[in-house]
Amino acid sequence: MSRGLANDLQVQANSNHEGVLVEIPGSLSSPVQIPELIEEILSHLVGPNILSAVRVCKTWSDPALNQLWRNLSSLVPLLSLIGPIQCQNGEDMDFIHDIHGADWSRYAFYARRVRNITLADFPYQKPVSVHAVQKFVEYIPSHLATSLVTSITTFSVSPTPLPLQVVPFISQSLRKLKLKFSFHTEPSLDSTVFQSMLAAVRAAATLPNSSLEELDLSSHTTDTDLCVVITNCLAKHRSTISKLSLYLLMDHQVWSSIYNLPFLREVAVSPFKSSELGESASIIPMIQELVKAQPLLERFCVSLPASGFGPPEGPDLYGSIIRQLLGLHNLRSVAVYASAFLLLSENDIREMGVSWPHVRAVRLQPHTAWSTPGQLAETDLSTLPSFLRHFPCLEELDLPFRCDSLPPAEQPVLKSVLRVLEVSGSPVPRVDVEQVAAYLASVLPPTTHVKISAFMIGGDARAIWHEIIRRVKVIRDERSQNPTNALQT
Amino acid sequence: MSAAPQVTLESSDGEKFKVDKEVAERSVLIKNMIEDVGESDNPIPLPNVNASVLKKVLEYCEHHRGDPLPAADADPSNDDNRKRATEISDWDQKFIQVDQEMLFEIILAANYMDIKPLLDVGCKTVANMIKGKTPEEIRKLFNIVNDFTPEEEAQIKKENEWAEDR
Repeated sequence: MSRGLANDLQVQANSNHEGVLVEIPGSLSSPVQIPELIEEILSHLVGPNILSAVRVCKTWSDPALNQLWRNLSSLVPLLSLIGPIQCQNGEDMDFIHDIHGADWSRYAFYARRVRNITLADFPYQKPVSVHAVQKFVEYIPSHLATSLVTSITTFSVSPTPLPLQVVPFISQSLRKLKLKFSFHTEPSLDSTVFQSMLAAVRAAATLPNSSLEELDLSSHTTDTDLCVVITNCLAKHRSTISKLSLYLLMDHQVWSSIYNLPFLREVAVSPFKSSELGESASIIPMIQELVKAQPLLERFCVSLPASGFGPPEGPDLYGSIIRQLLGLHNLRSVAVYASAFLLLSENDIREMGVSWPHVRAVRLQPHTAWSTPGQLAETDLSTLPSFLRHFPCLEELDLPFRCDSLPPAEQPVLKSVLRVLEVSGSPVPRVDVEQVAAYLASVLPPTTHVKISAFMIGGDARAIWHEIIRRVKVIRDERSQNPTNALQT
Repeated sequence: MSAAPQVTLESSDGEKFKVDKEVAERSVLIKNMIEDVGESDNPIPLPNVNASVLKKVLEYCEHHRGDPLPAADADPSNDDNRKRATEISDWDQKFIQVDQEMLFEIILAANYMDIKPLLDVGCKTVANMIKGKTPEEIRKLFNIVNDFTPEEEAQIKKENEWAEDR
């Protein structure tokens, strides 16, 4: 922003300083008279406050409208500019009159300001009907069809085909496309949603040039057609995609096309369906190929399904996945969610630390529908200092620990920069809670926040770990009040 | 140990300020100037900033001399999150408790000298002044003349009233 303004300033040579160019502004003496600064000020406000700013004066109106229309969470404001729109007979929002011959000048005035569209079909918010969107597409003048929207995100929680609504906005200026669906139990509803995702991804795949930087797709249902359009989409946007998230059953074609994205830095995948057992181990050769093709990845996340009613995988699954990932020396963040026993030894941790010298976040959480929380946690709490010693940049560690016995307390690893230790999924310790709290307080840097995620299922373990966290705080408070005693203890 | 390198800045009214280079380089404008022409004993002229404002700006730069610099390649979506967080640290809040004229001068100087965190503090302060006010109250606050006709104002209100319940 300031550079933009600087360009508007008059540039004059100043002979006092060896020909350095300095910028002399015009007669503008107040930031509330300069559109770029008004926009900067208003960027710190939301909704109704910006609406007031829109009406202050003509100089304020334009930058205020840019802020107001920048992020839309519904298409209703945009479509209302073409003609009145409302719910009819409890159905989705639709135009009251035919929009043939409508005046599009107001639409042009506002639409150019929209940068991000984020849609979610919450029950309290009626979406625009497919019919209305079809009418819109039919009548929009060609010069307005290319919008400047750079980011589209849809979250579908009910079976409304929201992505179909965003198809008209999928243009060459788009940088981020996120289409996320929750699970629908009725196959027919799933199919509706799936068809609409197909349409949206196909629209992105048929753009003339590569422009998408981020593609994030999540759907319970897939088929060959969707896999083909995703493959085409990745091929089309090959030279721009840096961030990819695919939470859907994918075929070999889709997986292989991930190998061919030269600027890819972040990958999150969940490539299997929960109803199909015994697939988890097949992720290992897939990861092996991916690591070979994309050694510069900075973020990697894989989520494997909980194994339904069957038993979880043995510790070998976690171990094998991690061994493959050791080839990614550029990692900043790594996350593996699998239905398998998680056992890491001191040696494993040391090797991970050496292989991932830049890693800031490690999240390894076993999940399963088969066992109670904590049953898959096999990594001993006494390995915690190894994480602190061997990961110089580690800021967040999310890993369940079991605690059957404890070694003598150690000095804290002060060079550690760990900010958060997430202990969700840890089973009930077999050692007295006071001892566990004392151990954590002794090995962790004093600034590390020990926490339990809100998502953790309740039960004894949760209550006991809350108590441990409380006692860690008490010990730290006592130490900060009486540092001499702290040294002696 | 040798003394920290220093540079001299010259305000629009000719006053010279000798400061540590590290402090002056909180300003991207000055940092680029030094990189472009190399280190020199000549004062760096800042013809848009008078002495009283420059003194205040340098007080800010001195206090924040060790802060990490904002990344040039920061994700713009995170930028939105940064902006929405309207809280200002205690020290910054006390620093920015100045009259409106000085506040505006600081914002202009921060923009001209390209000191993003100071620009944020200034703009957040003005944003907080606007919060909850009607258009008429904002006009009064900043001495702005309404150049909309009543019809124009009604029209723009109507086209944007969806934002009322955002």
